[in-house]
Amino acid sequence: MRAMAESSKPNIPRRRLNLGKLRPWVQTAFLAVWLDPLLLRWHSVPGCVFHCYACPLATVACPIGLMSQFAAMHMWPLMILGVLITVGGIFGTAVCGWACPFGFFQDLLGKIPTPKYSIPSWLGYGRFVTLIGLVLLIPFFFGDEHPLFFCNVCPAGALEAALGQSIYRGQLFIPNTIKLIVTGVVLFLAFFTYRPWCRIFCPLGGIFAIFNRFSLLYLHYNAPKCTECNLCRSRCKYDVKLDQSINNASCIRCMECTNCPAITLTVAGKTPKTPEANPPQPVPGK
Amino acid sequence: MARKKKKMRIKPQPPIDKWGHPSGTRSWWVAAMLVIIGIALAGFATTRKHDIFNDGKVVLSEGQLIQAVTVGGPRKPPPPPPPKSELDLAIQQFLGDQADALTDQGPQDAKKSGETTPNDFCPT
Repeated sequence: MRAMAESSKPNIPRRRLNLGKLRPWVQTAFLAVWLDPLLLRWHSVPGCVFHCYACPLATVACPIGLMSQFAAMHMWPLMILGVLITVGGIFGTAVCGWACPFGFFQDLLGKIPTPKYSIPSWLGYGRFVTLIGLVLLIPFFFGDEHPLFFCNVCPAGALEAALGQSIYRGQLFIPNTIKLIVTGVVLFLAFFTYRPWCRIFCPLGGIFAIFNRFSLLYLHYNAPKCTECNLCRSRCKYDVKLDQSINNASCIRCMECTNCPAITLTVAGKTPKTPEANPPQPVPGK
Repeated sequence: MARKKKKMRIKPQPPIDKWGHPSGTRSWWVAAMLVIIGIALAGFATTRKHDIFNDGKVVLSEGQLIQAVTVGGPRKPPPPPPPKSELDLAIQQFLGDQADALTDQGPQDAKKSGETTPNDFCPT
């Protein structure tokens, strides 16, 4: 009886949740967390997003700024590494796509209707150059007074700290020339490509990109379901070839591609169902 | 007539791993190991102490060190100025407190004029 009742259910396809539409709301909610509405000032806690601790509204400390400082002091930043490995191991680059305030700012700039150009994927290695060069090596060998010390070139510092402090203290703070140039270039590029800082320069994005292939949450490409409609590639703003290398280092997990039925957000250890793995059961009585 | 060959496009299929899963799937234990390592590192970091100048005077926990870094960094106090010569002492005595007042005013004037250094914005 039960089998018959189940077989008589109409085969209505389940409506997919559009995660991409949910993203700006989640980013706004996280912005409220990072901008310290409760005046907690947890500056002894390293955060997991790119948000300058010199900003008058900063709840937690920027992990990249702290890593540079620890490199300058010749110390291992164990707490920062612990936080980044834990968060990266669970979410991967979803942190960039859903929680990072500087990424959200670039997303808003990307909504300005200007022509958008794709950038070559090899530029993504720039993130590792920034991480190794400006965050680790230069502070380690030359200290924090070097003009290329990461905090001295960081555009988030220029926007959040200099601008924020100018508004907060009512006194004009002008960042140094290199920082102004980097900020200008990033803002200019943000009009013509999506998230230029995150894709070319961001050292934190580089760290999380390493975890994309191992994280607990990941995107699964179900090839048998693919109808080659190209929906996933057309939806992706970051030029990821989803049917060839999903969970690529360029992906920020904006989840726009999950509109395609062949791509699903999955938790590791849970094998997504495929048509081959679960063939349709024969209806009893036929 | 040569028969026109129809181009067959092969649909991409993910290779099957040795457990019979499509290669896109992954085991949970790698991510779990990462999370455990991360929590262990952070936990270990909370227990360790840093002797900042290796003289046993400034010993901070990791959290205190991070806090210190975010407000300008632990700085060694500048060395005491060298003892003044007799001539300097004589000049100071002659000028009285005016000399100190003049020297103290210098940096304040610079701040008022809006001169900034890169580290004013990202305290280093």
